[in-house]
Amino acid sequence: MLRRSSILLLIFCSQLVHCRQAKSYVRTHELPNYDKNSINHILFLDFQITREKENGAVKAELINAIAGNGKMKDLGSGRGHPDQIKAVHYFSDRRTPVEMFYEHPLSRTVEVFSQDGNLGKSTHTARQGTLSIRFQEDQAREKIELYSVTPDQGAVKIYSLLVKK
Amino acid sequence: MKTSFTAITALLLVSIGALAQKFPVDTIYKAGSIDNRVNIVILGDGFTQGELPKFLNESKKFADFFLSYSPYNRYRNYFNIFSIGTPSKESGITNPGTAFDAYSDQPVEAKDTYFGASFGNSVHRLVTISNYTVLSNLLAVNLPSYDLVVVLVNSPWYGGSGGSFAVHTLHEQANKIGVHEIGHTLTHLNDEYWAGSGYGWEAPNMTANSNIATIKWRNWLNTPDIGVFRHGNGEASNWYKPTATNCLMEVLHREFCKVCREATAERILELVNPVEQFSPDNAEAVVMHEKGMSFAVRLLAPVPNSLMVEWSLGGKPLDVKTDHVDIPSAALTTRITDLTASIFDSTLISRQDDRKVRRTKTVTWKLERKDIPMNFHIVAAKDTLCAGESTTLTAQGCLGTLNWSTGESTQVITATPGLSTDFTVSCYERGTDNIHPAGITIVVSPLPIVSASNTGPYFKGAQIELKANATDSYDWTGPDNFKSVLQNPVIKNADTVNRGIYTVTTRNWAGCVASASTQVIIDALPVADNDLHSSVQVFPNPAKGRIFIKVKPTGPSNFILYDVAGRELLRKTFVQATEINLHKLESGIYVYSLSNGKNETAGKLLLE
Repeated sequence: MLRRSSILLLIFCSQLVHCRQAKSYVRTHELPNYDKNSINHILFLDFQITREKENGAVKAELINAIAGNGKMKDLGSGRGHPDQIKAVHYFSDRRTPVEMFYEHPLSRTVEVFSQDGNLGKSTHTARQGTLSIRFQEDQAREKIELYSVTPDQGAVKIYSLLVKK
Repeated sequence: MKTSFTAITALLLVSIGALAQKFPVDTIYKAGSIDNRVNIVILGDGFTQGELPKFLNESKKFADFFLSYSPYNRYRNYFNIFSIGTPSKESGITNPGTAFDAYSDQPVEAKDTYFGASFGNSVHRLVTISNYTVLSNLLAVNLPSYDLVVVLVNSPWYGGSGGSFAVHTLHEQANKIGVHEIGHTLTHLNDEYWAGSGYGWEAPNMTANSNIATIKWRNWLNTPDIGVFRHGNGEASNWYKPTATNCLMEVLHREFCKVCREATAERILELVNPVEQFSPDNAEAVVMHEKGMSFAVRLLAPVPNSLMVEWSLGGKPLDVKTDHVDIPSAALTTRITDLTASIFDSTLISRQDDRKVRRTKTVTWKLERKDIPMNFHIVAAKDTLCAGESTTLTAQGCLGTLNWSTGESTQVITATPGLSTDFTVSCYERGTDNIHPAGITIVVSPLPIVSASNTGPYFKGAQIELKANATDSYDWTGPDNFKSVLQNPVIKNADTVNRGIYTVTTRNWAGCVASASTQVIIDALPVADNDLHSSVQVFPNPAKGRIFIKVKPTGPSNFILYDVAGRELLRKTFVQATEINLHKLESGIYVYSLSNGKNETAGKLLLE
């Protein structure tokens, strides 16, 4: 089942050639594992982030969405990264849009630990990566926009996801 | 719209997560409710079905290591730790063997594992996972409310990585990687090694401010090993850290430094409320029994217990420090009295200045004695104000909803009336049709009217005359510790230390205070030199359009003309005599200085 869905998505993604920005929607109540008997829900979204060639446009595609029950704490992000994905959440109740920042999947920095106790950082660039985001369900959330933020190109919108009830 | 939407899709994604599997969630340590604890989930990769007991054992070892690490050991009951065992098809993880630092005796092999963990291609000890979607589905289905994720990979060889979650092997040195990474994700600590360009930012243990009076860890500067250490050269020289190779955030074989411990404790106390429960419920007023009642808070005590409990009744402190208090009915003298428990963690791990204000939790009960008539009234923090001041008004004794004349409905309001004002509030008693009114008058007194001036500008040696226009008291302050209570004080023999802002404060019969300021300008012109003064002629004075200057000493003389504000208008150098055209200047008083060699003099010039 999972493979069949992935194939369908790959076919769909192949139709997006030359497209800088894609748009789709999710219906939260129809997400897998969405428990209508639960009061609080946490949504998990995975996006495939790709860059076809060096200095080419960054593309995003929603490849996985699933819900869980419960409440989550907002631990925020204390880390800064030169390359980031910015997710902007828009709400229908006049709230100020909320920006959340994530490490750019195409330029990940991981800490390297030497056995002598010394630490360092290692940056890994890739043509394809996964952005996983998690957030509390909010009835007023209506849209999430993704931006690729890099020092040389600034913020470029790469995806717009409508969130429907 | 330049960016076109070439495709609009509806991704129902029903089938995508359908295979997300439910696994047993093993509880390693459950200290309390998920909503009021920091929840760590430990995942495993490269463990086959038969090796899941080994994974559970390794998870417990990491949990024990983490909870024995300072300061987590003090707050171990503020954490829940779970593990989710996911069987991999093969045991162990992939070793590409391509990195320059690959271990020579570690077999090169590819493994099919649940999260796709692998040693690094270019840096061998860099162990990461690759199946992020699998990770999302696993967490969504099994423990969506997690706060922190640690992935243990089934390999005895040293390796690991950090990022949004920690990954490390079973090597005995590797569990410190998990603790280091949780320092990032939980407490937002920065690395105390210099991680490279772009990795400097304000964090509890990193700052661009090196001022020891204001640096964020200033309260620790008198303790060993804590200082203000520059990160390095170049861009790193702009950033400072509290220790030098003495903290887990810099080297793995060190403990957290005191600054990182403080930040960690503060973060834990921000996320977890030490008040677990209290009784009785306080959603409604508590009707007191004739014999009195007991009130209690159930606290989540750290080890050792650093929680302090203070009780107050009707705003007055009670001599009780325990987690419960017995209140006799006779202690209540009004229909409604507030009982408050204040809980503060006084741990010495933190020295932050505002910790008590920020972290004190309170529980308040409204105690009701039915046998005392309702005394609904307003209490004002101040009922007499000076214009521009504010006061708080508190409606006391209402068992119901409130409606203020200002339109507000809270128990406490802030009022800033411009004039004397009557404030009223109605109490709509719950469960009845009774409406209880209350009112209070806030008297507002006007501020005194005051102005200040001086007769300057002045030269050195002149007499400064300050003038105040007010009807009440006078309280002058100014440069060089000047103080006076006279209306028009004078300062003789002015010098440059006397120049600056002079402020007069006056207080009227109502105690209201107002102030005004005047700026005194002391021109740096010299005291007149009698020898030169007697040998200089500036004429005519008063003048009309031009002046003549004669100086007896030979050699060049410098003439400078100023307006009364001290601004230089013209300057001329001459020998013994000159004529200066002043037609462009307006009528008024001007000041001149004249110097010859080391001799100087000055004077006033009236231009008609």
